[in-house]
Amino acid sequence: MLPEAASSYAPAVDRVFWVIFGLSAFFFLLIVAFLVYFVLRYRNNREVLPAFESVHLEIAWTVIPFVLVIGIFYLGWKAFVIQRAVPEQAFELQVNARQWLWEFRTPDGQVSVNRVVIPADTPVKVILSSSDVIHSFYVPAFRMKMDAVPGRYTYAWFEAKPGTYTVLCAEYCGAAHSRMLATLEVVPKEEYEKRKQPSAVPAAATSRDPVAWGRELYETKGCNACHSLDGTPGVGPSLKGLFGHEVRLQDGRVVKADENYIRRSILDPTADVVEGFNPVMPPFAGLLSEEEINALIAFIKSLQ
Amino acid sequence: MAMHEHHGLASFYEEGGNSLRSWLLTLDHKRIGILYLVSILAMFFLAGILALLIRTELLTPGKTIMDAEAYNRIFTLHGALMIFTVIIPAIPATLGNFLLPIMLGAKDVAFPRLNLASWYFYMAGTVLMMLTLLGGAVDTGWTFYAPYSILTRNAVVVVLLGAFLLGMSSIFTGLNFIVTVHRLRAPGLTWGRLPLFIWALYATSIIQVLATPVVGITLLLVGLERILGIGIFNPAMGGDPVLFQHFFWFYSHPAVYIMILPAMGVMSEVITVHARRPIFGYWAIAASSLAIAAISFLVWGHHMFVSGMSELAGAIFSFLTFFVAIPTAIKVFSWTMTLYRGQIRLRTPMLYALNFILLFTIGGLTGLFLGALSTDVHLHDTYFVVAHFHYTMMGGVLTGFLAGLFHWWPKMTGRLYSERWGQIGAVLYFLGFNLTYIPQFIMGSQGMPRRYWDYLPEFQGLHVLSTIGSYVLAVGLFVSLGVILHSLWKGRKSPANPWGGLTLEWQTSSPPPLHNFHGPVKVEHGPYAYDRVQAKEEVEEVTA
Repeated sequence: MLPEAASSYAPAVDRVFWVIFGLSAFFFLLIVAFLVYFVLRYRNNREVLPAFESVHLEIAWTVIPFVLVIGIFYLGWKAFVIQRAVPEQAFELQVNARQWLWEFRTPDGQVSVNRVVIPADTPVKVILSSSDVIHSFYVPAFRMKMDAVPGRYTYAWFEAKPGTYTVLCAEYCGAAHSRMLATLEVVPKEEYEKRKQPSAVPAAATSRDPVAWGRELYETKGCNACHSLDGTPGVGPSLKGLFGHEVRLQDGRVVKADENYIRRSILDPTADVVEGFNPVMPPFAGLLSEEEINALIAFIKSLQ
Repeated sequence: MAMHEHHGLASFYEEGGNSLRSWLLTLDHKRIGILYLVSILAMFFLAGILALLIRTELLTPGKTIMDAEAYNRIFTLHGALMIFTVIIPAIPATLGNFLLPIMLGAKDVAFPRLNLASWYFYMAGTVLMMLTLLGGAVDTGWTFYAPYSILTRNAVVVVLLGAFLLGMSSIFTGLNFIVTVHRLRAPGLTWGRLPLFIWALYATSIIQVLATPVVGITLLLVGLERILGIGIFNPAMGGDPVLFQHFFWFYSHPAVYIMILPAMGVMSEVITVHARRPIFGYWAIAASSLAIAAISFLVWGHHMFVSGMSELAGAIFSFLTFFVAIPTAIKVFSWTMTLYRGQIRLRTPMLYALNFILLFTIGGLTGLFLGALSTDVHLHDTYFVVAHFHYTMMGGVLTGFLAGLFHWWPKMTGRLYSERWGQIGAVLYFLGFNLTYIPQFIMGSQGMPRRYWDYLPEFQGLHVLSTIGSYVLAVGLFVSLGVILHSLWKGRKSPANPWGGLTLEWQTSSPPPLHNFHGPVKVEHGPYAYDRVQAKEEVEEVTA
């Protein structure tokens, strides 16, 4: 019933879950057993049987559940303390949530959207903030969830096994809430050290096929949450067949979707809102490099 | 109590006629109860159709029948209508209005005009909520969390105003019931002889009067913030979004007890009558209603364990939350023991009462997972929560409402319904209900967040099961609706006391006359003295 337990404290949380499950199942079956027995035994009974009262029984079913729920509280609290107490010297991962993507910043200065690489078997403190409304950073495999609240910082932590894990937004945040996913790639420490070497990403990137790179950006920067490639409108218009065609805007203007239009729509989306859509896209100014914008334009051009 | 038919007073339907005016300006609590019943059933039908649209959309990941924005609006409207216009008023405003004065041996509630005003406030609030459908609807979720509810571009203020009016209506009803219970009990009806349904309505009314103003003010503050730009909850203007959650749940958690307590009251009546047995632990059940009312004010923070609230506050709220489990458990155990040595008749109301015990027990026990801090971190805002509150709110409140509706239908309308079809409806309801929500518990445990239009493909199998379940559930409800409507045209006339109940409403004709009784009322025994007083079951038919 529970997903893979991939964080250091997940097994402790799962133990609490199964203890409660066991107790609940026992009491449920007990009640069902009595109900079924009484209904079968006294169904259509025509005889007035003597009254039955028992103070002992009432005391028992008050005191026993009382002790049990206090026990459950204690177990839940004990595991919660582990979930909330961040070990010293943790790796600090800054996460900023916005409609509808996750921005990550690692201590070595790497910035990324919707995908981040993290060292395994290392305590990671997630410091959460939000640019607009409340979101919630939820990694089911870690049994970890924390709201990202605008105007303040919140935190959570984990120490994970190597693997690839999905981050979901758990607090309803608007149109593309269900598409606000990110990927945590947890790699062994040595591999993480190797990867974080300034492996000349920009240089390598400029030598890449811009269309393929643009497609990758489309998926990793969160564009795919709202813009389809097959012509179906989502929260935003589809990108299929967009380039070079005329676009009718909310205010009645008709513009041609050229390089400048696409660039402006990425960096300052509310400047030209397409007819029939709401001005809900966040601005990407500062989140994409020039090369990345060029690659995205090349990709959009290819979608004829 | 015998011979009442011979007094020959006309029923309240005949007295005063059936003109539109006689209904819309009536001060009779029974007619107001019927007005509420018709309005609430209509809203239940509408919000239920919205639920079926939601479940149909979730048959496949991505778009099935609607886009994300339409989906968000539909689940918001489903939640807001179900909570504010159906579940909160369902039992107090319909069964409570009709029966509370009769069960007290009174002619009417203490303030009949206030009672009628409450229905008009209800209608105004409901119409406002429906109006938003024309203007693009609202997509905030029924919880209106700030700052989303302040930033989103749609008719939030209209819905808030609607909810505010519905809150007023709820306060009116609560105030009326409190005064009526204190002032208008018949001679001999001591507090220790009050039917447990009355105790439950009394406890509910106290919460309604004390907690509803807080949410009313909170909703108005959101409205002011949107209209005037005052920064109360929006951090961009110096407000605090977590403060909104505190205000909101300070009402809305007690509100779940406003919803469930009356259903618990119905249970105590239905089980004792159809098991022809004194209630087990009268004082424990009555006191547990009041205990729930009191504790319900101290647990709101359990909705906020991952909101950024301090860990210490979380621990205190978690600790207090577990105290609610005790009075709830006492009630379930007491109802079960009431069946011991009973003369059980498995008529439709009793089947719904058994449904209630099973479904509500699951709802209560799954609350333990959410009250415990560490498991809540994982399960919060997932389908586990969705399933949990549907087991308590629908499996509890609406099942209790249906039990009460079938139990008192002959009294309210003077007609008997088809027992066999009523039973078929109850069984379909039970099967469909569990098929709908058990898969949601599993999905939630596996990490499927709520309010998701799109989802990861591995959840599709469980979503399909849940959707099929919702269709079975709908068929069960349509059968039940058909049964009661059919009884109005074709039903046999009901005797005064079809099931052999001992409370006062069974001692007057079905339906009762305008002033409820055919002569002076005097109470000489407790409401459940089935071991000492014998009342004949005037309808013997038990099909199952």
